[in-house]
Amino acid sequence: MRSICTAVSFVLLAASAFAQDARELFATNCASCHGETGDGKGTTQLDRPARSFKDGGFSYGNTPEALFRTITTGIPGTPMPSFESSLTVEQRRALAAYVVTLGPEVEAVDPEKTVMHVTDRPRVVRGLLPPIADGAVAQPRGLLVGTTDGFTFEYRADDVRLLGVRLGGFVDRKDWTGRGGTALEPLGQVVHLLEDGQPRATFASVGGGELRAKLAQTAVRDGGVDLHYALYDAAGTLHAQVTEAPFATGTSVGAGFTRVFELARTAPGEPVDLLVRVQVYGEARRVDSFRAAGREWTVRRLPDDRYEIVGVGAPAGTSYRQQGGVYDVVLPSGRVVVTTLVTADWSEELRGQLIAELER
Amino acid sequence: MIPLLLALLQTGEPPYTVDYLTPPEGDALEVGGMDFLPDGRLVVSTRRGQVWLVEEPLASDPADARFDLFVEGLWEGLGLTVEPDGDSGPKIFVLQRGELSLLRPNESGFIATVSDDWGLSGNYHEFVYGLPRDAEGNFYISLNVAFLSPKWWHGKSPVPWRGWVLRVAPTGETTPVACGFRSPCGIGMNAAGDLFVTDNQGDWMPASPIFHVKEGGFYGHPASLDWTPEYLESQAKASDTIPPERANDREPAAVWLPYKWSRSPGNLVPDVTGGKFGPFEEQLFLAELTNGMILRVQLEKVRGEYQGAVFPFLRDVGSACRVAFAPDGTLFVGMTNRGWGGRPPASGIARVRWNGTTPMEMRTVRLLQDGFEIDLTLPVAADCAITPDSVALTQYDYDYWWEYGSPERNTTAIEVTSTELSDDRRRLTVRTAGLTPAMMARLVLSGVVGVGGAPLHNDEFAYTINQLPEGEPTDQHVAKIVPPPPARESGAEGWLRLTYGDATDGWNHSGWELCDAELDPDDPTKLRTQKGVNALTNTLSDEPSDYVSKHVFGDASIHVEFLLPQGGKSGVRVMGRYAIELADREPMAAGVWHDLDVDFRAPRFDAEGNKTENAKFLRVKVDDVLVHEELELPEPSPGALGPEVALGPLVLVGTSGPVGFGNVRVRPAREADETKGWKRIFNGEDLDGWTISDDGLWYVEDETIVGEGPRSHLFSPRDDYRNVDIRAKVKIGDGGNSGLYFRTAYGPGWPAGYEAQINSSYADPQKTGSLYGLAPVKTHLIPPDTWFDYRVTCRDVEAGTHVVIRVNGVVITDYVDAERKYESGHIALQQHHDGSVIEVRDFEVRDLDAR
Repeated sequence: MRSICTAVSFVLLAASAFAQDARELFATNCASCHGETGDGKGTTQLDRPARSFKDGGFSYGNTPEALFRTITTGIPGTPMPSFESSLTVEQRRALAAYVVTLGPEVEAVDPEKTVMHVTDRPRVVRGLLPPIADGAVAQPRGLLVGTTDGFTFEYRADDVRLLGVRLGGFVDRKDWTGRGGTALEPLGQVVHLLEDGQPRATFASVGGGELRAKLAQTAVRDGGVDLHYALYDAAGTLHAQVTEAPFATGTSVGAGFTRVFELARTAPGEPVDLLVRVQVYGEARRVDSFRAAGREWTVRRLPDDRYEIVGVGAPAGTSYRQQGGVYDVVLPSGRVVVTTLVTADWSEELRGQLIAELER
Repeated sequence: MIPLLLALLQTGEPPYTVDYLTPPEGDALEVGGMDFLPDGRLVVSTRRGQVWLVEEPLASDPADARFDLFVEGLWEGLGLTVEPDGDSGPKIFVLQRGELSLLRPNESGFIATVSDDWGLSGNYHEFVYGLPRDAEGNFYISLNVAFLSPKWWHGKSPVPWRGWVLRVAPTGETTPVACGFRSPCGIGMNAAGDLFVTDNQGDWMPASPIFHVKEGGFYGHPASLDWTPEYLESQAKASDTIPPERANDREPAAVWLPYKWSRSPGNLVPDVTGGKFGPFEEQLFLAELTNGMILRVQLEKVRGEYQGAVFPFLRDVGSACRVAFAPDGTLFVGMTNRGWGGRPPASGIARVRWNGTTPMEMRTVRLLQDGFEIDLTLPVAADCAITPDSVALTQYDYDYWWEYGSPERNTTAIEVTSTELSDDRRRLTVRTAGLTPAMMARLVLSGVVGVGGAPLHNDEFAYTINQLPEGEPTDQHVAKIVPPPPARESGAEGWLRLTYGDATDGWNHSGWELCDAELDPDDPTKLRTQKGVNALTNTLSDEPSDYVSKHVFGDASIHVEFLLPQGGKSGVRVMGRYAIELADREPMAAGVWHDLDVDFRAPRFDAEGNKTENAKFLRVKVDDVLVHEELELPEPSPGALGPEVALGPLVLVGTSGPVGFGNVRVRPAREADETKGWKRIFNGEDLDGWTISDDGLWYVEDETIVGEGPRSHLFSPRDDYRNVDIRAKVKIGDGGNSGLYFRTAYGPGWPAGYEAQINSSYADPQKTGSLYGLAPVKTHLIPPDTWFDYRVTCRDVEAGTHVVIRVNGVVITDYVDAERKYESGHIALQQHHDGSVIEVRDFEVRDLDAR
């Protein structure tokens, strides 16, 4: 009881101390979409209206922590941008505390004991995952990576394939109840889905088919999680060791995620060209491309009229090719960075804004 | 927490005391694995996928042990072992459902995969257990079979290596070792380093066994055979019901654990404490979950193979799933009870300590050709005489079949011919008139007192005699191959559905309706109903009656589903006399449907009508959890319909407030029919002598008459049946319609005669059990495609023609035709229309006119 009181008074204190600043920050950064009073009636024309905070319409949590997270990272696939680069941590905290006061009073809910949250350190959870999307399949060897900014990276561990990315709560350990052995319930909403939740292998050899990734290790660092795995071909030959680090990426233009692959060749016998396969929508949908921050970026219009911005950074000697919806990065070894952002809008001006931010 | 002292001795200090560590606040510690770090800390893995490091696990006050959460987010952890001196400090190996993982105590976010080379289909019961290691550092793990719906009772191996024991080399290389396991929750080694697995009773496991695992061995459960090279090559699949060929060279269990001691064994550990845990060095201690016991197992080699005795050791410890010895000889007991109804506490860690006092126990048992040599821990008191009367010895065996468990079979008392005490009064030799191999032996010793007056703590053991030491070895097993029990199929056979189709037709009631029901959101102490067919509720009237079946039953299994509002009360009165109260409290909480399952034995009466045996609830389960067992009912409950009788109706209580019922089914016990004079009406091979009307298709297959094709009737050779009793096993296909005619004339079209209707799902509202056109039955008692027992008795009485129709032994129709419409004739079967399929076997008749 004591700790709850303390927490509540801290929020109030913070809110009053920063009230003046926070109101101004809100007016400058938020009101054009969310309205002066937070009623969702801003002046900007949006294809989907911004949330009204007055009726408690918070997409990804209504605690100061959750709101801080949303303000920091943005919401992929919506006009809600990331304010990570434009506002300081203190400003974002103040803003979050202020936005809470706009909503209806909320009863403090004692979270279910089976619900796991990510707080100050990333978490890795293994278990049976339900199908991530209609038509996808359950994953008996599922792996969830929860990051401190509210994202969940959902993998199948059998051959280390990212199925999708969620935003919001982390996971309800339903297998703790009943007779056990049942599926986990990831709590976030799916904000990215890779190949309808049934992606092909991430790595292949040129002409030699998909490579099987065999999970060797997961390691939680302070800032994130590393997945270590080994790549084998169909004959069982080991070709490379990979460290993959997924994390959320927010820009003022759009939000999304990044995967960094560190690839070390083991090269027994014949060297094989390796591919990192990056999901993109077909060439026909390409509307723009540019180079920024040492990476190649392409912009495509998604079937739902949003825009997907994919940036690939790879060492010298890398070549690229595209087939259907897959973008192959043919690389010698080293570090490959793939960032996927989704935005509701794309324009010359936004491109300039994004490039400036990326290069900063 | 105050140490719980178990009163093991009636005199003096108990030699073993049990206390419980204070679990971490807010966490249920469902222990799956335990081991100790070189620095003395205890490492615990849990079913919840956590690994805890416990400081001061041996503190004299158990509250001083401190739990630190080290790793979480694993998928279960049902085995754990510590490698004390790894290259970079100690290593913790923990067995998750999906992989064997390596953790390092100084690096909490690090999880390395050692092996994940086994299949997971996603079935909830695909647990993986561990984690002993051999001298080369290899790990051993055992994999549960899957229990798939709806036939969960047939364990399955949908992916490799379900039902196998695997070896995982330190390099991660994983190889199958042996198969035939079901739910092998315990795996461990004895003091000699030989590998043992405990399994859980169920299909193909007549009781819970301890197996000595040998390379290539097959241990009895067939599902896992699908992954043997032979089956893969021939694409054979193990049968759910027929013993596999390899059943004949199964590896026998080293020990079968009696059901009364063990229903869910966990792991076992050898006492290699060098005497720190008492006088049972090198014996095995076994965790037992359901009964909450620690058992003691002592093995010997007879003809080169392990077999031996199991003794009770400690009772009421809790849902013991894992046992491990601490370096100081304390036995740590980890508890887990995952919805299976074990003893409290259901989670946490207990410590069992020996205080140095030697308990009076049977320490070891050695099998002799004609008896046992029993070594006692203390000399028998000088004034205590042991005679053959002090020893009760029985032998029994089991059925090896697909059914869930087996009763003890062929129980035989064995005559004890002599008892002889050694000079030091520590060794008792019991000799008998003869022991039989491939049987169990249960020995109970009474009146034995040790020096100082200590009575035997545990006076009983069960010894698994696979072989006797001498003579011709037997090729028999304790678990004998027997003909498979009848298939359970859909589980529908033998049942009468009393509320299916027309849910009100078979009942007397007022104020009840058929509807959909749920908690009233405005007033959750009431039910809100709307149009529908899912619930029978007493909501039509302020003063509803009880819901009373028109049919009466004796011995039966009863299934009722019920829904209570908040604070609601109701009940089920079996035979209208023996009440089971239903009330809104655990485990019958309001607002959700619950299953009530009752196995009931009716009272027995002698010829004069005096009661000779009380009624009994054999089992009462709510939502599959046993709440009563073998509950004797000396008299009817208050509110009974009347004095005790042999048959009575099922009563659903409607007078205690709103309640919903649904899916009411009764399976009457099949009692042996004592009546004489039955004769087969058809020869089982062909329709010789029978006459077919119209263009019907009637034939015999597997001793069964089958009717198909367009409308037609099949008439018996005899045409003069009058007062007659007819019985048969009958099955009607979905959408089919048939009937059993009697006193009928031969002819085309619809015959002139009485017809006992056979119709499960054809549109005609008159269903199975009807006397067609005279006494309709609208309840769909029997599902289509389900065999049932049909019996029709017809005789002339003063008031007319008396017809009684029984379905599965229960009188459904009892009708007197005052018009005496039909006087005599054939017995006949109907094939109503093309698309209908009727099957009839065991077709017999009893002529009531014959004297």
